[in-house]
Amino acid sequence: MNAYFNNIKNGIQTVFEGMSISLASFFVHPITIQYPEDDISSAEKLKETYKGQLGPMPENYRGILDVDLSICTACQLCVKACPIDCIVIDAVKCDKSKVQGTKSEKPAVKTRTCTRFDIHMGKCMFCALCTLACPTGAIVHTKVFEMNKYQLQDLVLSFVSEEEKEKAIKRDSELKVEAAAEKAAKAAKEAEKTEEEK
Amino acid sequence: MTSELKTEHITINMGPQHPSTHGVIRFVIKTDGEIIHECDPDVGYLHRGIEKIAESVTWQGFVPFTDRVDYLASMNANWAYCMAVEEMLGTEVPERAEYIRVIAGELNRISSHLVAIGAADMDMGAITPFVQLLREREYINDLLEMICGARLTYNYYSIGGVNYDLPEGFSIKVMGFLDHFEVAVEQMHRLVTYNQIFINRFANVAAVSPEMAMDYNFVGPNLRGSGVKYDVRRNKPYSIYDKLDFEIPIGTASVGTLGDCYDRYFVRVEEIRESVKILRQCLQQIPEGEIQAKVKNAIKPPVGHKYIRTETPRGDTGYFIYSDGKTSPSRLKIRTGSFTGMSIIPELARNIFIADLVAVIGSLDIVAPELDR
Ligand code: SF4
Ligand code: SF4
Repeated sequence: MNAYFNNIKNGIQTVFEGMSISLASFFVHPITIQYPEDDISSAEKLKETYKGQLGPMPENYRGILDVDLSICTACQLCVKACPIDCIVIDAVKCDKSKVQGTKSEKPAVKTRTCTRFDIHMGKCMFCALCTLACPTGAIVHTKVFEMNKYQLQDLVLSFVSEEEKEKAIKRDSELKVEAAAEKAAKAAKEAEKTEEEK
Repeated sequence: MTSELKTEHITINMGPQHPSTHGVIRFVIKTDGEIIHECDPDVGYLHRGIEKIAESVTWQGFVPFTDRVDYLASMNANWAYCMAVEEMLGTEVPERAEYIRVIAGELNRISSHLVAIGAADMDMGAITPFVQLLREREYINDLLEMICGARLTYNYYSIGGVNYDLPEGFSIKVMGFLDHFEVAVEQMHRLVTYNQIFINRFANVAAVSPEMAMDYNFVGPNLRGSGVKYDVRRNKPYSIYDKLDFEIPIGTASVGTLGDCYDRYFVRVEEIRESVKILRQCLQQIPEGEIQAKVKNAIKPPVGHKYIRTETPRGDTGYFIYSDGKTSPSRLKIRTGSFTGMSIIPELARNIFIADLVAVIGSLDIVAPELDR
């Protein structure tokens, strides 16, 4: 009988204890961000609204990918690193130049340029393996995560525009002509040389 | 009128989309009124063929897939897989990387247990604790986001180390969190653990004796809840766990019988405290140095096989890998704790109330994606 009443007493007591904790929550600062209304990219505003409880997104946040084509050497290492093949790169030859990547002090040598650099964000799982593999730091995650689209096809990000592509292809064919001319000239020279020797 | 009323068993479905099953699991229940006569768990709804995927991706490329095996504790899953490959390659992980791994793994263990406890509470009808615990988990997510940039599927461990070094001011932030968290755990005790209604719902329900636990191959907190002191971190130490000082909490039948739902619940709470202890030690001892051992770009482990056991929040998780010297595994098998937890349900569910079945599932901490893979 005693145990029975004890049980009831304990029940009521502990429930009220729990209630007191719930009640206390009314007097602490909110920690849920009112997401679409509040601008989460500005740290100052967040600090103001949430009294320093919440910070902005960290700099290394793994959002959708971005590519800096000016430092990309079209080495295709990111393509090989991606476990689900969502990066597609086509590349052609270009004028030899040195580019300064963000990952190392030494500049990288660029001999090829992309005519197509597509990333299917609908397939991507934001694993960062491509960014880790990239030797120049051309492919990086941005802080953007809002990417709703109406069509699945719109999720394919193309980083090379049509004009650039045409330009690159044109330059490539010019280079090919030049290279062929050079080769022909060389061959002619060789032939001359052997003739002279004879 | 005859003295006996004939009753009929009704077959009902619980799940696949039931609010109190943890993920997509289906239970076919034959009930006699409120009492369960027979319960048949039906798994496989979340089968994604992860083991088969392993055969077509590179060794390093499989790490993000291990995230998806157990989404509540991806760090630990990453760890188990990376360790298996490292053992095959004979790679020595730098000491700093080992410390970082333990820090990330233990933080993830806390967050996973918070969800386990919170979800068990919510299944019992208590929404407040779930929200409160999820708030604490959010702080941990922030910390993990600081080190790797993702909040759920981290892909943080690499073969031979970790992908990123700890950011500046990380240990101060973790220390600050731990101080705050210890208070929060106390609060959680007042809110749930000592709550009489909660005790009545959990104590004496579905007790698993130590012998039965071992027969059914229980692992992790479920096994320890039955009073068996076995933890891979202690009994077969890996990484730097042999240098750390922590206890292995076991069920003590504090309010009910040994191995009941309450014991399993309480072991998890105690484990959180131990993880806090481990974290404090690691943050004090962490050395400077490299975070990544030298591994070849194209990883090709020698021909052979390896089985690795680690202690994840859901128990003894094993990765068996079979390599034929190529750039992807020839066969990979994952052994997880949820599956063994699930196999005991037909036995435990006999002659209990339907509402208690929910308690059993909650206390076993079953995570559906880990169950099916
Ligand atoms: S983040 Fe991962 S999945 Fe996405 S493109 Fe890079 S490697 Fe592929
Ligand atoms: S790895 Fe980097 S440099 Fe190489 S193709 Fe990809 S983005 Fe360009």
